[in-house]
Amino acid sequence: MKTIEGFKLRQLGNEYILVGESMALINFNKMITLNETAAFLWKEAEKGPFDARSLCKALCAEYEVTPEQAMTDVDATIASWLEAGVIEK
Amino acid sequence: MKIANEILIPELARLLAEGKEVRFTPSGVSMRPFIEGDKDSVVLEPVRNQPRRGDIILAQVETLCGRQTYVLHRMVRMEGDAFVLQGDGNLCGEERCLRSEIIGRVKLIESPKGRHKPLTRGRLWYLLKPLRKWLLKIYRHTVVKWNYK
Repeated sequence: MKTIEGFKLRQLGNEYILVGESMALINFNKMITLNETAAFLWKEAEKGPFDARSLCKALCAEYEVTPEQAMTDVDATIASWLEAGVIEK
Repeated sequence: MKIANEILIPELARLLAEGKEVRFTPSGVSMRPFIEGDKDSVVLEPVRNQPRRGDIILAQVETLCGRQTYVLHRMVRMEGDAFVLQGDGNLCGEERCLRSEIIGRVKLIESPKGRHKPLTRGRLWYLLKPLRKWLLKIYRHTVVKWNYK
C-alpha cells in the first residue's frame, strides 16, 4: 500500500489532521483527524510502500505495545485510511 | 469533523500569509443567503491589494465584550483606517477591523454538491436591507429546506 500524494499531516494544537494539499490550495474541507499513534503510523507510511506488517514493526519499535495490540491498532488505522481514501492498495 | 476556529483560523492565516489558498467550511448563518454555514465551502485567497466594498473577508475582530474572534463577513464601507464588515444574514451589527487584521478574501463559494455559487458583491442585497428580515425568512423556508436538508 502507499499513501496518496497530496495528503499532508499537520499538527493543529493537540490534534493531528490529514489535509489534502495541491500546489497552491490547502483543503481543510476534507480532513481527517488522527490520534498520536495514527500520526506516527502516517509518518512511517509516507516513507514508502508499506503493509500492515511493516507498520506494526515500526509501532512496536517506537512504543511499548504487544505485537497483538499493535496489529489491532494498525489494522483499524489502515481500514479507516482506506475508507477515507488517503491510501491506496 | 470540526476543529475549533481558535486553532484552525491561525493556521489558515499562516498559509494565506505564505501566499497559499485554503478551502474550508465556515459555520453559522450570518452570511445567508450567500453562504450556508456548515454546508457550503469557501476558497480563501490572500489579500494583496486593498480590499474593496463587497469583498467577503475573513478577519480578526473584537466582540462587544472585548474578546478577539473571527468573522467571515462582507466589507460594507471604510471608516478612516477601519474596514467595516457586516454579515449578509445579519439584521444589525457591524464589525471593524484594520488592514492588518484581514486574513483572507473569499474567491469561490461551493455548495455541498460541488456547484459554484455566484460570487456577487452583494450590492442589490445591501439595497434591499429594509426587506432583509423577510427575505431571509423566505430563504430559510425555501432554499434551506429544499437544497440543504
